[in-house]
This record gives sequence, structure tokens and C-alpha cells, in this order.
Amino acid sequence: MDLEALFARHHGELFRYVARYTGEPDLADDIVQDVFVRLATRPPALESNLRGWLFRAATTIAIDSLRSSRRRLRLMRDRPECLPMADAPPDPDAELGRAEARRRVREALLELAEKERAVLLMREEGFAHREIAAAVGTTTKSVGTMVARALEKLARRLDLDALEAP
Amino acid sequence: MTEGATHPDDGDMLRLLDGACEPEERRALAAHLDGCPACAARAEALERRAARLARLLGYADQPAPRAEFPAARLARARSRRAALRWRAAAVAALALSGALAVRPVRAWIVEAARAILALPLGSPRDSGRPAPIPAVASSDTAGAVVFEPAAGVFMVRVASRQAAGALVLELGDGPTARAVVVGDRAQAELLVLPDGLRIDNRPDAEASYLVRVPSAARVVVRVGSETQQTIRLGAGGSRQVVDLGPPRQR
Repeated sequence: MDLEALFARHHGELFRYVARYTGEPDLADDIVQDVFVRLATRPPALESNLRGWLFRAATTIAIDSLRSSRRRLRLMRDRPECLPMADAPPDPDAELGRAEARRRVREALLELAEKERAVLLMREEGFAHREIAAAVGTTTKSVGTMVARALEKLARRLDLDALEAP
Repeated sequence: MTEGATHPDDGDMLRLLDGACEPEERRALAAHLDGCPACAARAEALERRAARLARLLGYADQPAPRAEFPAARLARARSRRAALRWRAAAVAALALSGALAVRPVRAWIVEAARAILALPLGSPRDSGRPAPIPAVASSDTAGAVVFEPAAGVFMVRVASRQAAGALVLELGDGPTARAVVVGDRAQAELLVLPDGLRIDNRPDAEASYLVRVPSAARVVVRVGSETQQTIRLGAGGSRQVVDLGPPRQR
């Protein structure tokens, strides 16, 4: 198994998925690296769908990281002097709209249940329903139901029906 | 389509849009949408929502950083797992010691295995710390030999360097010497000699060897045809580790 080639091939899509899933791009890069450390040290015994395995591992690690990150944030809220300072954007005006969209999308996604979020975002990455079902441990039919439910929630939260047509 | 329902639900329609239906179900759903303008409109709205969400997600994405393969992290993880395997072998020693009939020997193995478990983990190449015991792949563990060497110099002869593993020497509190293989027993044999111990190991072995030496003895170790070395063991159960792995840049 050529780990470096696999890493180069899947890094971009895994980063995008994990950054969306956690809402924390800084955490996402670490998680993607952890996925490949896991692949090297505890490779799947018989895995015909390696891409699915990578996303499944990313989801598991992301959930763990998110939980401990939330614990850390709670601790930091009690000690505000420890909160990291955000970098100033290079062009504040141009970044404003995107930053606002990013914040709204992040909040809306994090309101979904963990499984709903994984199902929705794996669909965005082009996985078939049966692959998503295998990754999150549900039936193929439930995937459609969960995606539709997640879309409904996000449509309300993000005013999707009012956005300009794509 | 959902059993007993007149119209398909959003989950059914989403599966239709994503091509996740079985052929028969797909035909039934498509036929329904053809004859039901309300459901056709819902299906279109669902498709529009999905497309708008995809667009919004893409707009809000942070650009991915440059992909940097985590080589150092991987090396640390591998080293740590190797050390953990060695610890597993020590745990096995602890467990199997219960089967030994000779109580003092059993007590020693229990104590020695516990002591080994307390040794630091990590790779000497990574941390720069004194070398911990290298990895043992197997979790099987051998019994012990107990003897009283005749000479004042306690010789430990190791037939050859091996794939991994270490010789762990510790100072005893009497005239008796004890030794045990931790790892795959088939990889090495312990032979008692008048002046000490010979470890007949295979070059591909990954086992480690715990040896408690008599308190009054001067300890000399020789690995293969390499120059022999005198090992100094202080009082108070002190322990020295001799790496038996392949030669490095020493």
C-alpha cells in the first residue's frame, strides 16, 4: 500500500469533509493525518472500499476530536485569557460575506445529529447510498430518509428555498 | 415507495434522484411523479434544495492546506505500537507466571515483568532518551531457569544480534541467577554454564531476555563475536538494558 500516494489522492476531499463535519478547519488537517496514521498502524483486514473506510475512520476520529475540543472550549471559556486570537483576514471587506456564510453553515451543520451530518456530507462527496449505509451502520433506505430530513432542517435554518437558483 | 402511503415521502424521492432505488421501485416512483403534479413539484424542490446546499457548502469551504504526508507522526505511532507490543509480551509473562510451580521464580517473573512495564515507551531515535527495550512481536513467553554460577564473573553470552529485542540485566540479592525469555520461546534457548548463561538465539528473533545476576558477581556480556562489555549494576535492584537489535550507528 503506497500510503503517500493515497494521502495525496484523498487529502483534499477528506479535509473538505472533515472541515465541514467539525466546522473547525484547524482541527480537520490533524484529523486527516490521524486517519492515515490509523490506516498505517491498524489497516483494515479486508476492505474492498478503501475510500469508504477512510471517510468512516475520519468520521469516528472527528466525533472524538469534536467532543474533546468542546471540552477544551468549555475550559477556555472559564479562562478567557487562554482563548486563541484569530488571524485578521487579508481583505476584511471581501472576506466578510464569506465569513458570515461560513459561520451560518457551520452552525446549521452542527445542529444536525452526528449521523445525519455524516450521511449528508458523504452524499456531497459523491458516495452511493449503499456505501454511506455501510459507513455509518444503517440501511440503504434510511440514508434517503436521513438526507431528506437533514436537507429539510438546513433549508429552514439557511433559507435555502430563498437563495438564488444555482 | 413507503408502504401504505398514497404519495412517496421525501426519502423515497431523494433515493430516486440519487439513483439509489431498485429498478422496480424506480419505475413505480417515476410513474407516480408523472401522474401527480404535487409530488413532481416536491421532487423538483428537493433537487433544488440539494443543489443550493451544495453551492453554499462550496462557497463556505475553507481552502485545504497543502497536503503534507505525516511521516514523523507515523514513525512515532509505529514506534509506540511496537513498544506496546513489547509491553503486551511482558503482560503475557505476568499472566503465564501463574503456571510456574516454583514460587520464588514466579515471584521474580511477576516483579520483573511489572518493572519492565514501567520502563519508558518511545523510540530512542525519536526522543534521544536512553534506549528502552526494543519491540517483541510475539506475545508468547517462556519459563525461567534458576541456577547458581560457580565463578565470581557472571558471563552472559548471546549467540548473535537479532531483529529486535534486548537483554535486561538486574542485580539480585543473593548467589542465585535467574533468567527468562520474554517473547517467542522458540526463537531462543537458555543454556546454563558454570560461569553464567548462554542465550542461543536466532538472528531473526524478536524476543527479550530478563536476567537477574548474583549480587556479588561482576557481569560481562558478549554478543556474537563483538567485544565483550562489563556491565555495572548499582545496588538497590538497578537494571541495565543491552539492545540486541541490528547494529546501528553506534
